[in-house]
Amino acid sequence: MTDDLLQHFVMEAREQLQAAAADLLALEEAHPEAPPDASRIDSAFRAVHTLKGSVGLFDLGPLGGLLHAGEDVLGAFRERRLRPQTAALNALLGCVGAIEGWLDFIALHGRLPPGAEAECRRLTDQVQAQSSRAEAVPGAPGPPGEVGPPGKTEPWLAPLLAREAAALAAAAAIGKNLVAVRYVPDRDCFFRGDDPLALLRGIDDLQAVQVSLQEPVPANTLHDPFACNLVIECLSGAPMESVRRALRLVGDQAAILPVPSEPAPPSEAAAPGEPPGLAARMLRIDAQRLDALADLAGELVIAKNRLAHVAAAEASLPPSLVRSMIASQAEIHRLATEIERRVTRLRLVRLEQSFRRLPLLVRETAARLGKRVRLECLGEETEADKSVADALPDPLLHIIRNAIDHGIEDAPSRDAAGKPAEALVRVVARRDGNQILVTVQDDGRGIDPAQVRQRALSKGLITAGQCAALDDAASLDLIFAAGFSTADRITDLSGRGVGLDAVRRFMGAIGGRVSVRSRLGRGTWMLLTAPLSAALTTVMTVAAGTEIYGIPFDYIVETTRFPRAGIRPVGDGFGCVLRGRTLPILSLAALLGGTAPSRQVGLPFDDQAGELKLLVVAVGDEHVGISVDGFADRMDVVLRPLGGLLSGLRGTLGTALLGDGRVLIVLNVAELIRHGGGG
Amino acid sequence: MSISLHEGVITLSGECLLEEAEALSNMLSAETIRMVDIGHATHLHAAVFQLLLMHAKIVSGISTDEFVGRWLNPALLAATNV
Repeated sequence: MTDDLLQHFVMEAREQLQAAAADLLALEEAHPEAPPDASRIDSAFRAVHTLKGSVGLFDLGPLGGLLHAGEDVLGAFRERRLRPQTAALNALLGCVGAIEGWLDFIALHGRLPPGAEAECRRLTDQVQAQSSRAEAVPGAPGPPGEVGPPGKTEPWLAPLLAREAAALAAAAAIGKNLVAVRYVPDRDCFFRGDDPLALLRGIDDLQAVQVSLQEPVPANTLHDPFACNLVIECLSGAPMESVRRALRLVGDQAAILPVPSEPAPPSEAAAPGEPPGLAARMLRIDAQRLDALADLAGELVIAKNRLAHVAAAEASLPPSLVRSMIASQAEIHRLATEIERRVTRLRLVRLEQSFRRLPLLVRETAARLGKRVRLECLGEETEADKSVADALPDPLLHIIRNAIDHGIEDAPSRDAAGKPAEALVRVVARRDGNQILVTVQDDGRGIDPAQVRQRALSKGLITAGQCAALDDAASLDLIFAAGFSTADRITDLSGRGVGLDAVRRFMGAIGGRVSVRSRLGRGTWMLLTAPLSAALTTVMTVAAGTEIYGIPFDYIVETTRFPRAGIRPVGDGFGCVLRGRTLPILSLAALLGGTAPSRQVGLPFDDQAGELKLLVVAVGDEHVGISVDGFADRMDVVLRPLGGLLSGLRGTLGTALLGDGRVLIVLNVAELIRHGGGG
Repeated sequence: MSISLHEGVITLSGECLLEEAEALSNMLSAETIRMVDIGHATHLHAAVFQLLLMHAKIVSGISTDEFVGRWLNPALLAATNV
């Protein structure tokens, strides 16, 4: 129960923080002379306020105080006692970033990470320093002329109109006249049987409503629940007469005025925001339940395959029965495929959510390094399976941090190279068939392949022989090798020994890949490829000796037969020339550390006659031929991660259950080639 | 029944009238109340609403009633002042 509550809190906190960050960044980007966007301030205030409320449920020490301080600053923005200027926004963004960083720990342990309390207090001081700059007394909201004509005798009207500027603008945009109401019910109105909220409900075409307490009630005091202490203010698009009629019984307690019509700034009318009622129609479902459904749909596909197996294997069955089994199997196939397709669609989410943390990261990283960087995100509407969308932020953050740290030059170097002072990092996502492609491009200094080779050599990642043989593309790929870092100095940001090899690992874990291209002086392109859906994986089954294994289709470039006579020793191993390209050849059995008989088949020189069955796979940008003992079927399987003792087994992606009940091990070819199999 | 209490969460459902205000007032005064769920409330009497504003407990749920969901929910959210 408590744990559920905590997880729910962390999930919502993440959303609230991201929403707040987006609002704060938008406020920061706005022109300093322009009036601040009230809807952004409101939205950030709501997010921080909601979060503050939920924090109280848990034992999170000074976090509540920090949020409270943040809320004060946003409140001062709202009441126009403080302008949302850089210093204040920076302090708030700093808090958002820090709290976001603590959430993972909070999710696991239900408390703040070590050291966070002190950080929390430091941030609180910073934020409080900002709110202390606010004017002590709320000033007159807005410049004169923005609200009602001068000389208006009702003092409540101007603040109401200022607060509801968005509703006014929306009404003005469609030429609607509004009526403003302030209704202060008598203290004993409940005894007379009045329900002020029922009367409010009776007003047609409400455009804005605010119900607040007439007098604040100090905490822990007894108050009479039957004494009305409310003030109701609203705007309605209904005719004056209709509003009067709705409130005719409480006419003495309500003031009703026409809102002076005034052209609203068009920009505000363009962003009326999402109506709050919409949220109720969306259903939030626990991802685990969807996964369970996806698993079942997958099992159905497999059960269907088993039926075909039985029909084919039982020669003794009467042909008519076999025919009807096959017909029924075809029907089940159609339905199972449809269910699987729909479940897969349910799990699709927009990559927007994977991109949401990027602007804050770019801002922070650039500021820390004293660089000016603009982030451009395109293709946020691209959809991918939730598992993929969830896995993408980590590698993306890593790559972008790396690009800003190492790729983008300092200001003097950019100036000398004739580049604009503000560097560009562009993230583009798109769908390509069954894959999601995300490119991260920067206009920095690029990567020098020769330098990469030298560094790899000096770090002992490659031998001198390998170093001489590497072409530029293969050299660049070395930046993904474990223990490689191009930084000449260890920076605060990306030099902590977690290199880009982590990115390759992340991507590998979701069946994806990462590769790099670079032009010296012009910039670097990172390409992340991920399967659209991680639910079903298409594999080809291949034989090594008497065992069969699955290899994901995503890796396979082609299958071919090659005359053994054409195999040549290359360096320490073997290779052949296939379509003008030198192809290193490895034996699957040898890669798996198989037994002697199957190893023989892999070794090309045992038998000069005959042909070798080759599976050409792409590993990074390189093609490798894998000799196998046989090709079998192509099939769709539900990939299950290895559990228990096997979970550390290298070179495997997981297992899948075959139609005949056997378990198929699906290989992670890239890992096998790089590191070999085993634990 | 329109008010129920379970494991520190008060659930308001259907039309919450003046008659419910006293019971709610007593419940809200308890230290153990963590949250008030108004997701199933179709109307809140002003007295009930006022109690929620005063006690500033965390309010969860967005009422499917157009009036409550659109106009009262946000006010309660903004008032939650723990």
